[in-house]
Amino acid sequence: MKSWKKTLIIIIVLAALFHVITIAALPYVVSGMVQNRLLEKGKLEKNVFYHGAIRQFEDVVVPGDNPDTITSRLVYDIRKAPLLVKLRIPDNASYWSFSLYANNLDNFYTLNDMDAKSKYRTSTVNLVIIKSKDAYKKKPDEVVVQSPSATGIGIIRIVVQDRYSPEVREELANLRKIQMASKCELVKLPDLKSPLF
Amino acid sequence: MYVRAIVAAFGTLALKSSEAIYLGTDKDDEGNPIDDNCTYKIVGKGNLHSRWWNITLYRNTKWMANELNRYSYSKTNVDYDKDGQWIIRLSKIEQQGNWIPFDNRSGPMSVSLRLYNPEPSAIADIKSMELPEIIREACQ
Repeated sequence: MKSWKKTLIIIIVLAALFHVITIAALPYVVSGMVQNRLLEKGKLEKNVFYHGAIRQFEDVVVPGDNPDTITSRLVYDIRKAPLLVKLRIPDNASYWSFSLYANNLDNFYTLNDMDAKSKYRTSTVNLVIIKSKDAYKKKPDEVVVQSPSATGIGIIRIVVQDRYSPEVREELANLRKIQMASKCELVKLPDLKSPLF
Repeated sequence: MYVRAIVAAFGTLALKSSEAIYLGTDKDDEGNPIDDNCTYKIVGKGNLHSRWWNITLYRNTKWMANELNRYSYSKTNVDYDKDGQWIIRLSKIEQQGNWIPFDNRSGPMSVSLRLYNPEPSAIADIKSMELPEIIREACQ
């Protein structure tokens, strides 16, 4: 009887552990899948923006996709160096934002166009993503964001005011120009082995 | 931990509520599933407590594959009446004004409302806000 009870307790504990581990691991598993999908199964590079055009019906792969936005995507990897993201912000957008997601898919940072203009009073923001706890000597025009993980995802979202309007081509041409002006590059760190350092 | 898992599984790469609130339903205001043999009107007013909003009709979580390629209406392209009210109709039958046609596919349908940069009162308690109604008008 005692042995039966002991087995049951072990099964319950193991089941509870399995449940907790599965729930805790799910965001990381989904994040890996999303990063892989954003990089089109490894065909695209990390630390490079991919600026998407307005999507047509045939292009939609994401459930619940928003038809009224254009997006730029970035899978970042700051294991070797911080990443400088040069963001170009439209002047009269209905909505623009840049969001960062850690590798557990936590949205740990978002900057929208209104906040960018009120805080930094510029239409270009130089944002540097560094690993949390890493030291970084920032330049006067830089905004430093600490990422909880060494890899993650960045998304620029721009609302298209009226994708159905005959004038949409002109609006899209302007938005695409601004969208594609956002770029990123790894920061060159000083060479610690150099005798001049 | 559970919230994070649910968000990861179902709300991948969503924004925080200060940036955007996402609301969705597959039912009308009487609690009946949206049926493409019926005509519905979505009635709302003004800015919906946000900087920008849009309403999208989905089938099987994808855009509605209608002949007009019309999937959504937004704050910037919906036609308002003189009191600032607007009506969007969902129907297979041609409608005057704001109209999203149902397509000829089968599968469950849903309506999504996105509110970008919602007002603080909406972030605090969206349920207490006046939101658009989905009213069934007539069925074939």
